[in-house]
Amino acid sequence: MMPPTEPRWVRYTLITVAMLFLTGLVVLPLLLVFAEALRQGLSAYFTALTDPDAWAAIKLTLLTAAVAVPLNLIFGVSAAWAITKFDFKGKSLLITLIDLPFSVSPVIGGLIFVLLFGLQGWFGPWLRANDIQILFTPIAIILATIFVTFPFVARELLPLMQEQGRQEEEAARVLGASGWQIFRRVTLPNIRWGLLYGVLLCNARAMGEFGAVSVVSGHIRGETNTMPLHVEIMYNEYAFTGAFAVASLLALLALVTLVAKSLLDAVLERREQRVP
Amino acid sequence: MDITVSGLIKGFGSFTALHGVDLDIHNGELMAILGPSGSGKTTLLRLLAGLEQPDAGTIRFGAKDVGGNLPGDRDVGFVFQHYALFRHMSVFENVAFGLRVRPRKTRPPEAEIRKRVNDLLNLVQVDWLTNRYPSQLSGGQRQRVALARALAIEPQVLLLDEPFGALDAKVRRELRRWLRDLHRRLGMTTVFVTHDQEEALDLADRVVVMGQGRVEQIGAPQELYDAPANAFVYRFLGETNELQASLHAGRVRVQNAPIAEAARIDLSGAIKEADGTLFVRPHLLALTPDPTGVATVTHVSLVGAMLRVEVETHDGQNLHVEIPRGPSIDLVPRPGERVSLMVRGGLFVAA
Repeated sequence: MMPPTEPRWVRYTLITVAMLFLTGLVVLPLLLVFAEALRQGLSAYFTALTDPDAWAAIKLTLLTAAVAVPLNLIFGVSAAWAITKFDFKGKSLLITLIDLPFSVSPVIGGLIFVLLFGLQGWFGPWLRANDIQILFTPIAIILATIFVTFPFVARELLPLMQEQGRQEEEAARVLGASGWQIFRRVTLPNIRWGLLYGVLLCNARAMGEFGAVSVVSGHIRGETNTMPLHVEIMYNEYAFTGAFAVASLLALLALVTLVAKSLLDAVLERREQRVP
Repeated sequence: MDITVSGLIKGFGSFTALHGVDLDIHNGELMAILGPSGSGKTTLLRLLAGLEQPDAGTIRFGAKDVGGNLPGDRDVGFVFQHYALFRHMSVFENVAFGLRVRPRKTRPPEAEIRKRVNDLLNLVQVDWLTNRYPSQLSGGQRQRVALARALAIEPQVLLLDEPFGALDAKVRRELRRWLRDLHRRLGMTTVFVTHDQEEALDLADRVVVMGQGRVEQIGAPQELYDAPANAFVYRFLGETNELQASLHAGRVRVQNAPIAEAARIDLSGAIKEADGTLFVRPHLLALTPDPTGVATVTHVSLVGAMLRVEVETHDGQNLHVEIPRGPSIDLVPRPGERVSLMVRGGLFVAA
C-alpha cells in the first residue's frame, strides 16, 4: 500500500465532508422513515401494514416482481447469450435497444403503454371491441415494470460473458454436448454469480419503480396500487403512519438487496483471488 | 482416418481466410500446419473440427463427407490454444465431460467413466491433480488435462491449435518430446497448427506451409528445408541469404560472375534469361580469406557448434555464413578481413 501523500488535515476534511453528506442525505432520511413508521407504536405499525389497501399494494408489488423478474431473467440471458456467442446482423442495434430503457425517462416508458393500449391508442379500438382492458389493470403495471427493468440482467451479463469468450462452449460442442447441455453445464455455472447479481438489482427496481407504473396504474385502491404508489397516496392524505410503514418495508428491501450485493461482492472477490 | 480436403474456401466478411485449399492427411500421420499469423492455419483446423462452416469445398474423413456433421458428430478431439478448460469443474470432471454428456444409451456406466478418466490422467501424467481446478494448474499441466479431455471421447482424429504457444521455452521442449512419444504410442491421425518452424520441423511427419490463405508447400521437414518450392517457403523456413542475381543462358550469375559449376541451383520455372534473387542458406555459402575478395567480415560469433560470420559485400549486401566448427579454431576470420565467397547451392527466383 502506498503511504498517504496528503497532509493529515486534508484527509480528515475529505472524509468528514463525505461522511456528513452521506449522513445528511442517506442515513438520516432512512432512520426518519423507520422513526415515522414506528412513531405511534408497533401495533399501529402492523395495523397500517395489514390495512386491506396496504396489503393489496404489497401483494400487487410482489406479483409484479414475480412476473417481471423471471421474464427479464429469460430475456437477459437469451440476449446476452445471442450477443456474445453468435455473430449476426443487427447485433449493435440489439445492444442499443437493451440500453434504451436506461436512457428514457420512466414516465415516457409508462406513456408508451398508454399510447398503445389507451382508448385513443393503437390497439385501443380493437381492445374495446373485444372488451379487453389492459390499461389501469395489473397487466399494464407488469408490462411497464418489465420495460423499465429489462436492461438489468442483460447489462450485468454482457461484460462477463464477453470476457469469458466462446472457447469453453466450443470445447463442449466438440466433445458432443447438445445446446442445452452446453448452457446447463458450461455457460450457466460460469455466469451464475453475475446472474444472481443482475436478478437482485432487477428485483429491487421492479419493486421500487414509481414513474412508469404511476402513469399506467390509474391508482385504483386495493386493485392497481403498488407499494410506491400506495405510499404516495397515503402521504398525500396525511396518513403518515400508513405511508411510512409501507415505505419502511421498501427501505428494508433496499437494505436487504444492499447486504446481499456486498456479500456477493465478497464471494466474487474471493473467487478472483483463487485464480493465480 | 485419412482426411481429404479439397477446394476449401472460407471468408469472414470481406476478408478471405482460405483461397481454395487442397490437402491429404494420411491415416496415423502427425501433420503440422505451419504459417505466419493470418495465413489461415487456425481457420483450416477449425473447419476440420466443424467449428466453422466452409463457403465452398469438401472435407472427407475416410470416404465420408463430413460437411453436414456437427463438431460433436465428427469424432475429433480438439485442444484449444488456451486450453479452454471448464473453469468451474475439477480436473476429473473436465476429462469426464465428453462421456457424461452422451445420450443415456451410449453413456458408459459411472464405474467405467471413473476408470477411463483415471487411466487418461495416468497417461498424461497428471493423475495427482484429479481434484484441482484449472486455475490451480500450471500452463503445462493445463495442456495435459486439455489433451486428456480431448482423448476421453476416443476420437479418430486429434486436432491441436498452437499446442505449445502459451508455454515457456523449457516446458515447451519437454511437452513436444512427450507429445511425439504419445503419438507414436496411440498412432492417431494428428494435426497441429503452429507458427514455430522449429516445432513443426522437429515434431511432424509432414508439414503444410501456409501463407495468406494458400498452401505454399507440403512435404517432409527435410524436403521443405532443402528444397523449398518458392521464395515464401525459403524465407519462412530457416535462415536465408538473398542475393541479387541474374540468369543468362541457363547459368546463374551473381554480380556478373557466374557461380561455380559444382553448385546445385534450383530454378523456379523454365526461364532462360531474367534478373532475380538467389536464395542461399547460410551453410551453403563458403568463404576463404582473400585480400582481393568481394566481401568484408563485419561480425563473428563463436558460440555453439557453428561459426557464424556476418559479411558485407562491396555493393552493400549483408550476408550470413555458417561454418561447422572443428575441434580446433585455427581458421577464424576476424572482423575487417576481406574474404571471397562461394555459393554451393540455392534457389533462383526470377523477379
